[in-house]
Parts: sequence; C-alpha cells; structure tokens
Amino acid sequence: MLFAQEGVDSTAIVKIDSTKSTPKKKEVYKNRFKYYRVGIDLSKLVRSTLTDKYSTAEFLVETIYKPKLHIVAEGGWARSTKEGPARNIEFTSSSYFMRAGFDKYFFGKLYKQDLDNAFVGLRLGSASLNRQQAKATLWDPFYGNQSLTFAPDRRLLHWIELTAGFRMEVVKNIFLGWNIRGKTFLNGGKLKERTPIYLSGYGIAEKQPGIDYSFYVLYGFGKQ
Amino acid sequence: MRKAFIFLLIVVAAACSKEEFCIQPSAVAMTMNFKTYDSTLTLVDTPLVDATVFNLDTAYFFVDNALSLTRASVALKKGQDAQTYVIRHSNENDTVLIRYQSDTNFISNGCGYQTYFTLENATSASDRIDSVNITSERVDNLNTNPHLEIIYK
Repeated sequence: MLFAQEGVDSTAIVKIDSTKSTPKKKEVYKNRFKYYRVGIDLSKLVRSTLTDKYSTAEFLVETIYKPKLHIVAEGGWARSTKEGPARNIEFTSSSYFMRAGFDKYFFGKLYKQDLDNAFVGLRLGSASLNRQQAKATLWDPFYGNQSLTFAPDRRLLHWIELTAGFRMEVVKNIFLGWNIRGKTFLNGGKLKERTPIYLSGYGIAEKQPGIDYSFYVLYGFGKQ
Repeated sequence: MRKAFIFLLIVVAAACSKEEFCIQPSAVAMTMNFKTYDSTLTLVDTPLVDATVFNLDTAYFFVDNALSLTRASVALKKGQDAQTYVIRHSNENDTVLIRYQSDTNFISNGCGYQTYFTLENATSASDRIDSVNITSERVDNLNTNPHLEIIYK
C-alpha cells in the first residue's frame, strides 16, 4: 500500500507519460566531414584563354556537414594587365583569394549516395591585391603630354556573396556543376582609382555589385 | 554533352564585359568673356574685331583672326603658377596675367588623370582694359560657366 491517506483510493494507478520523461538528444550526422568534393572552375580557364587582359584559376573543396548542408572553401589566383587604347593608365596586378561559406541543398535523396541537387549558398571572400608600378599620361595638346608614376601597392579586399547552383553526378564520383554568384564589396572604396581589370575570386573589379558564373568539374571521395 | 558545351559558351560570353573606353580626356580650358559697360552702366558683351588670342608658352593660337569675338577658351599650363595671355584686336595687344594653382585629379579608369586649376588672381596693365574679374575659380571642365570677365573701357 503506497498511499495510506484517508479518502485516497489506495488502488489508484499512477500513469507515467514516457514521452515527457527525458529530453530527446539531437542526432548528429555520423558521417560529418567524411565525404569531400574537390573541383576546378572550367569557365575561368576558358576565359583566360580567350583574353590577353587577364588569366585566372579557381578551385573548390567542399565537405558534407549535414545531409543538406555542405561547408565550402574556394581559392585561386589571377593576373591582369590594364593597358587602355590611349595608354591613359597602365599597370599589371596579381591577386590571390580565399572564399568560405556554406551551401544549403533543397531536395531529399532518391538513394543513399544521391548527391544530385540544387542549392543556395553564402560566401565571405577576401583577396590580396598586389599592384605593380602604374604609369599614366597627362594629355596636353598645347604644352605637351606629361607622364605620371604611381608606386606599387598592396590592398586587402573583402566581399560578401550569394550563390545558387546545381551539382550532378555524371559518372561515379565525377560531378559537373554550375554556380551563379551575386557579390558586393565590403570595402570597395579602396579600388576606386587604378582598378585592376580582374580581381581573383571577385571577377571584373569595376563591377559593383558584380555578377559572375562558374562551371565546375568535381571529384568526390569519402564516406557518405 | 553538347548542351553542356553550349551552356559553357553562354556562361563565358555573359561573363565578359567591355572595359570603359576613353581615347583621351578632354582638354581643360579656361573661358574668358569680353565685356564693357553701356550707357546705363550695365555690363554687356563687347565683340573684339579681328581678334587673336595666344600666349608665349605655346606655338598654338587659341583664337586666330576671329572677325568678332565675345568669348575665348584658353589652356593653362601645369607646373607654372602664372601665365600671361595676349589678346590682339584692332591691331593692338592687350595682356592679362593669370595666377593660379594646379592639381592632378582622377577622372576614371578609362580616361585616367587630368589637371585641374584654381584661379587666384587676374590683372591687366593694358590701357584699354578697365578690370579683370574672376567669376569662377575652379577650372575643371565640370563647370561650364565663364571663369574670367575682361571688362574693356
């Protein structure tokens, strides 16, 4: 007899609600950081061959944090030469960039290894710009032209980017994919004068905000 | 595969952009109006007959034998702080001394740089000229108002 109080039904059964007894533990994706994809942006390589004003290359590595959330890091370099038709300003520049963020995927998997999917993502990018000595011409048809010289300098640029795209496995572990990117500088005032033709990671540096495209081929490996 | 190739071509073409194009920036000119007082002491334009405007720092004439001249545009020289301009009309020369400062300004990534000027003082020792007034100090091609008034007696 558990309850001997007067007036209390001693045969009453106390019901225990098992669903409210202990807080449910969050399930951690067991294969977090175990699957990777590495890739190269083919569109940048093609563009580099089509122009003599700049050359650039971009690479990507991503890993699965959750089934619909990938962590992405990107990097690369570029060289560009600014030389106008009238030689108003001339200089060469080189730049290196790092970009990191995440991609959020939309759709569920049709099977366990299914990684074909569309996504949206966010990136923060930074590029180190190294400008060589610049020469400019002060045009003066009456008294004669004069040359200006500007010392080499370095700049650190930052930007934020929204991206969307698609990845598709074409053969086992080989993926093709594209990204469309909208980006804006966080400190673009540093590039108002003597803007390079091309800034690695950002693209055409005079565009603010900028829109760019990528076309990737990727290789996947690891455990899903 | 063909669709992927066409898509790639579109991507590459769409990502190209034209660089800002500029052959060379426009020359920066200082404009001077020629005036006189009429009978009511109102300033009016006074046309100069057979007028030529030049200075000794360049072989070019800014105005060469104009039949009737009420306004002239002349170029200032970077690196100097004063220039004398000669206004020849009716077979006589008048001189105007301009004192100024110059500075280099960025125009655009296509056009590059250009020199702008700030007028400080303008005088004339000629008997035919009553006074010279600076009506707009900044000479930069952004301001189309005349910079000098040369008032004849």
